Amino acid sequence: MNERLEARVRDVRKRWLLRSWEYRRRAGSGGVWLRLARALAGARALYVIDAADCARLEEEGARLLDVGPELHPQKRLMRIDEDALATLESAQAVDIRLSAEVLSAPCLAIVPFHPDVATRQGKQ
Amino acid sequence: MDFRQRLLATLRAAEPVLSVPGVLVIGSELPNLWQPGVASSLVVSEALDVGVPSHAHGQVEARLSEMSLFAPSDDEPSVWLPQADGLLELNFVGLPEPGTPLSELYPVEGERMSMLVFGTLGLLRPGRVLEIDGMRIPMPQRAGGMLEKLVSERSGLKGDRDLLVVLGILMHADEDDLEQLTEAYASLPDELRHSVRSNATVLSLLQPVAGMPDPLGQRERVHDLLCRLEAAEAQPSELT
Repeated sequence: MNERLEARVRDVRKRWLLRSWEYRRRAGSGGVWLRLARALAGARALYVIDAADCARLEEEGARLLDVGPELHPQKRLMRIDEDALATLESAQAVDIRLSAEVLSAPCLAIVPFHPDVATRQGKQ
Repeated sequence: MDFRQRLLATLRAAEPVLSVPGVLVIGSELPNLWQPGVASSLVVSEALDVGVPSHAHGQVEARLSEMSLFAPSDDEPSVWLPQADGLLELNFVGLPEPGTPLSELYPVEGERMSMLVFGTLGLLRPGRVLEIDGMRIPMPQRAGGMLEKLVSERSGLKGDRDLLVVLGILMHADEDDLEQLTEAYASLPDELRHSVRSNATVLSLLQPVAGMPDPLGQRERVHDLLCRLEAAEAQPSELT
């Protein structure tokens, strides 16, 4: 076989094996990173909020997403609608990506693309 | 000469091989060709990927001598280089026979052109022929064009650009395309479905790259695609 083709075949096969190994590892960790990223993918807007606003939203029935406590350090991550957002004094909009700013924030509020999801979860 | 002219000139110069039955234009130039009027506003790659069914390798090789504006690369057996200004290079990639496992990978070697056949390219299906300037460009269905990139392991800048190619296709996808994509997705093994969802999630969080579709303005479209994929799963995600 041509040397270059042979090297590429080896490389691609290695990556397939590595992917299978990583997939099994991820399954073992419950896919926390993907679930965090998925939560952000559903965000129309994302806000860092302080502990007081977070506590108030919880008292009003906003549900914390399960992925937050699985992170270290733990994070409080919740979906809210535009009405709830308007009541928050501490909300600071941040870019929706896995940045240091997002990862270091202890409390995050997500305004989802589909508001009915926020409302439904908020009443649970 | 702008990129659109170079792409169209390359397609015209490659007509002898593009006219072989079963051959498809694949890869990074697909979003350019699917733009309205083949606007080709994205400069994703300086190469045109030509998908060759493994059984048609001999036919394609026989037509290579009719492509006077290209010559084989000394370094890459699957690449033919332009011999004139204003053309992109051609990269020949093997399409597997039906029923080939997605993880399969094997070379098909010839005297003038060799290529690797990737099992994942079996996700591509022939689509509508694109007619432009008297040329007939064999295109795949959009669903396969997106899915074969989403099942692949991606990393680094190249990975990001490949995902933005998916976005470029998704932006022109209609309901039928999305249904085909979801149906094909549902037939994949767990590991590859995970890769598809993982890559689509990464795509939704990408930052803009010059010359590529802007992901920030298309995040809801990507989110809706994720919701479709998750709906196809036996157990819907908590986070949808």
